[in-house]
Amino acid sequence: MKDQYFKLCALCGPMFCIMFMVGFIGFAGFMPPLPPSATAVEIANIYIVDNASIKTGLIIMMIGLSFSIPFVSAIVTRMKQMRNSSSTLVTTFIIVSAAVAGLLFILICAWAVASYRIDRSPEIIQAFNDFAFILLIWPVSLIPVSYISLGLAVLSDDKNTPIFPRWFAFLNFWFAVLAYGGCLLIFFVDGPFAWDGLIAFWIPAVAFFGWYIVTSVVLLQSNDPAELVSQL
Amino acid sequence: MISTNKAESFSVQVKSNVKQTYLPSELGVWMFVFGDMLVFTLLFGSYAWERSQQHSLFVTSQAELSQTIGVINTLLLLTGSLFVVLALHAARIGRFALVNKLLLAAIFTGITFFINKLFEYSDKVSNDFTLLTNDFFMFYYMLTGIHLLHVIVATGVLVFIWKRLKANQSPLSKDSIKHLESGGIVWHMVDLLWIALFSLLYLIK
Repeated sequence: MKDQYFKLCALCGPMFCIMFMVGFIGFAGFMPPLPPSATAVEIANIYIVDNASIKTGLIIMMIGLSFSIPFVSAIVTRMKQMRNSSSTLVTTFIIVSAAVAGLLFILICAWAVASYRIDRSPEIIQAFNDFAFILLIWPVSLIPVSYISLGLAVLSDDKNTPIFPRWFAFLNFWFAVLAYGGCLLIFFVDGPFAWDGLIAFWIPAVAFFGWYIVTSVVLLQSNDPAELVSQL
Repeated sequence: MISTNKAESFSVQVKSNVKQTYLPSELGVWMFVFGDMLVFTLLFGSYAWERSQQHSLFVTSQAELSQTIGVINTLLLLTGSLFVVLALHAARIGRFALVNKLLLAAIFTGITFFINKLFEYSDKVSNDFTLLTNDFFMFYYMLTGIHLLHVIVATGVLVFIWKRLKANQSPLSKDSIKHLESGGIVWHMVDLLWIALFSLLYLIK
């Protein structure tokens, strides 16, 4: 009973990262992020000048996002196979991951709205740009919860034959800590805690994409416990 | 079959490592602690950079902080650390009742730190020093706030360990000792970070 799609789903995580970053950095040019301190006219100008490449980037990000969902399924498959699998934690992880996918969808849409009618007043373009960047960095109510529920599940697994290594649990807790860096961004338009700052953007961004890479490596190295039994 | 063998040889390897050098707690906890300290290093670095840019503003703002409250908080955390160390020692020599009492004492210092911090914040806010007053106070609230979250989590870890030990009346298992060690490591990290924070925010001239 080998799950032949497992490996494919596990590889979807890096695929999502690559496509999102190609769209975000390569085409949209959102790295470094558009500064929150910029005026409405400055922001609108960026959307007017780079309109076609921003739109192309958004399409790549939007398609890339689809790969994040099978990746979550691969993780959930393993979470359910853990010896002391807690269905509460699995459900929490599923709900939060689905919400994160939905929120990424909405924030890409918000950028799309900002770039859609560039002849309208700059304030409206700026408002949608604000909306997208705040959605990108602020949702500390969601992302850390998925890390913590996954980490706790790994810790509660059987110690002698764990599905994921135990350090992976603590790495998840650390990623959760990093993600909280953006929680006060609505207070600031510049400095390290604003949405283009070191603590609010750069560290959580590394954590967010780093999580997909590390998790996919851990997933690919993990064994299906049922398969081990059948081989014996 | 191959992978089971692999797993077995791996666990044998781990066991033989444990014999050679004893690692308190477990690898993951140390990874978390060093990762967390890395983040704080970046925070301290950006504070130091801002401070060098607006030196006089930072010095005058620093004078508004109460060093007395800072010292009290330092003593509280250091005492808490001592209690955790003593609890671990008591656990190793099998004095179960003492472990519980010492853990409670450590938890108490954590809670007192939290209450003390709330008084400090409300005093600052009532004197109109908020997150938005200037860059110094932005760093003051952010750094101490993130640290306070750590104190809350570390205290929570101790409460968790205390409850587990209370439920289990038999002699302490290896796992329980490991848990105590993890609690101690996290607690010491919170302590260490506070000492750095205390000097950077309250003392440095």
